[in-house]
Amino acid sequence: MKTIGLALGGGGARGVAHIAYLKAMEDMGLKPNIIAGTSSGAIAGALYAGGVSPGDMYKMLESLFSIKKRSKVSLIKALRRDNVAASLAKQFLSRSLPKKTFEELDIPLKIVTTNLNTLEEKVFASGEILPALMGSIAFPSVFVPQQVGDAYYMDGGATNIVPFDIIRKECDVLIAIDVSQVRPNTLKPNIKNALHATWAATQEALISAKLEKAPVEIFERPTFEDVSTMEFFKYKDIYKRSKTHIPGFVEQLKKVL
Amino acid sequence: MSKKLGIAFGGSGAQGIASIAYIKALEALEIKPDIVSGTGVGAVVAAMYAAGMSSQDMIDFLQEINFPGSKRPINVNKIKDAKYGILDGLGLEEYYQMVVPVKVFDRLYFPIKIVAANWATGQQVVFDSGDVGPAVRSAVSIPGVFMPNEVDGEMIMDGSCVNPVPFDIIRDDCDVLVAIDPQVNEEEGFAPNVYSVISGAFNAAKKALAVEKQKSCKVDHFESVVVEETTAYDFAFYYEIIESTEEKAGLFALKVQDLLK
Repeated sequence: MKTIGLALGGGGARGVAHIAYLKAMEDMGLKPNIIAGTSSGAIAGALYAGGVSPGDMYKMLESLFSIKKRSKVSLIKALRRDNVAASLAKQFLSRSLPKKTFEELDIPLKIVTTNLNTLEEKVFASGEILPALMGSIAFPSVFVPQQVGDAYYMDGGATNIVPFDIIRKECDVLIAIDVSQVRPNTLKPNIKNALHATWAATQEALISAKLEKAPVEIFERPTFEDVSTMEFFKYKDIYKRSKTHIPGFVEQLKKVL
Repeated sequence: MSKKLGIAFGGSGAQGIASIAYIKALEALEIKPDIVSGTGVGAVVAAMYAAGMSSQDMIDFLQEINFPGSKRPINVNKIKDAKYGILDGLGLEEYYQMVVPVKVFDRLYFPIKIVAANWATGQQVVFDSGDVGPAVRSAVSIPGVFMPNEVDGEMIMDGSCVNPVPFDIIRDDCDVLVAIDPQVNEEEGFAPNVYSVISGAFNAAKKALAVEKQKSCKVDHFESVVVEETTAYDFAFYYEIIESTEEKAGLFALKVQDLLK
């Protein structure tokens, strides 16, 4: 029996797609033997490895984001204040995580963050899950970085947006789900897009450099051109559209197994 | 037969000036490279180096520029009007053309490769023929600061986002490959703010990229240069940047001498 490694990438709201892929694997009767996650991929990974089914994850999204239009606006406003966003996320995660430490998980999990002091990737795989998760999702300018010990940790997406390389040696079949959507189709060269353009270019270069050393069996890149990182309210649409990628994914998975 | 030396110069804003200290140290030991690559400020340094300018010439070049003080406020109205970037790189290119003695790749003292990136595709662009000026201008066109440079109908920007220390592109052209990576200094135990988190994310990504590339491309010596107490915009402190790096650069030159034996 081949062992499966699953790398769930970061990409904010687009990470909803991970649920569709997990669901597809569940339907095939497959369970990954190891999971690595960054940012929203780390959330999906921590929930799944703790025993939450993809169906229940989707229900969590529904309860979080099915709000009437008017309250949406105030929630967005609240979310814009970083401390509010962080404490809301923390509250939700500490309530939803079925297992509190890495050691208790059903499936081994690695969570990627970026150490803001050394500017290097830091992988968490033992001890408490919540601080690691809060670091991993600390998207610059939206969430405040998470302090653990003397160091500050932020979004793992800065150093490893789709963390397949860190589990390459621990599985036979490696699946990477990239929802970073590094390069939108229309990125006009203007000041507003300046950060985005360099960021996207760096991420692309980093992913391809990593693929050279750690090739994967399946690399999925569902695209959602019009979904930006923080648009969690589009979860329904994102989920529906990710499902269109599933038949192809299932086909590939059958082939490699 | 003597070994061929390749040097890759990274770009990281003002810290990139530290590369001049390394050139100075190599000059002292009469070591000359056979091929050089560069991006960002590293591209400017590489182009001047290959055009026959000495480290002193480069320092003179910096002295000539009247850098605006780092405290000078940016004109907000100007930013509002700026469609592509706060500055137009044309002035920079013109100045470069005026100062640098050799302006065509073919006539340089040794070959160089200049790394930039295509704005639209995010792909790496390597310049190694034709005019050097537009290549250098493209390589320093940091999005948001400079307008991307239009070359053959394509918008070209700073290459440090796709290849912060472009050693891999000259690996096959030399026996001994060294890379100089000027890095941004982060204080220890600092409390992050929005600016440091965003710039930290970019710097961390670039650092990860250089590390990742070393996994599939062997570098004989990778020199990380941390310039204390300077930001990426502190071009006005060029003298301090060079001076504070000299000791490390001296050791580096000895190391290179050893590698070439």
